[in-house]
Amino acid sequence: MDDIAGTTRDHEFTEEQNADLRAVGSHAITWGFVCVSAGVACIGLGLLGATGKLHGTAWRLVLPSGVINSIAGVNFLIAGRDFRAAVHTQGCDVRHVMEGLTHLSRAILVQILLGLATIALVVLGAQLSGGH
Amino acid sequence: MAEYEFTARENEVVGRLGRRAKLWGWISAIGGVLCLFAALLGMRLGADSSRILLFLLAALPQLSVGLSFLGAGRSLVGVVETRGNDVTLLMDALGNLTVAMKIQIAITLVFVLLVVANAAGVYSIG
Repeated sequence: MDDIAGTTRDHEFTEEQNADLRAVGSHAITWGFVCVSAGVACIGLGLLGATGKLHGTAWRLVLPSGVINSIAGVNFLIAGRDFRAAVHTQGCDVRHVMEGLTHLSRAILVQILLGLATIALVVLGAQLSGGH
Repeated sequence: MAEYEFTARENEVVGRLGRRAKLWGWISAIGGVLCLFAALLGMRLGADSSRILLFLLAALPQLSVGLSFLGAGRSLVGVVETRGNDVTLLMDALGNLTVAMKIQIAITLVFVLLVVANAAGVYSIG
């Protein structure tokens, strides 16, 4: 469990540090929306393919990538919310930042897995097309 | 004034993010180098110029994202390994992460615009 609610000491960030936290929070939220939107679009296309409304078998790749993108996006959104909470609240700054970092860490892990899966598929595709 | 020192538990959270940011940075940077290599190979083999341009356009932001994530990861690992500058190093890392996310957002917007323009017949790839 990544929850760090047990933090006892705390620290209030300065105005300048709050501006940095606000910036990372806003960008994490924007990137989260982008990932979720792309994920939902992929899931929609994947479902259309799965039900036979679109031709081809690409939906088998599009559908899981949509789900993975959505998971990454949700984690980015939650991380952004945590960073904003650190700016807007008093007394729990470090706890909020740590929660933000935890969600950012999960989101990046999901991005890594998606990136590695994409590289593997590209290499596999290149080998298959080279064989023909 | 003495800076706030993160606890062992907090250092663990920061260190984990640092390692993952560095790994993602390496993956992005290697992806960028491969795109650059593909563009150079395309030039050498006389491939279609629009495809070469596409690889070049993909390589530069990939490298920038990779370097930003590597910088963020290095700063985050520095938070864990050093004493006395924890908050300053964390803010440096968050600054790098912000830059990386900005580039990722910009790449996606450009990509969406290119796809829409391609679909609308403004230009054609390949």
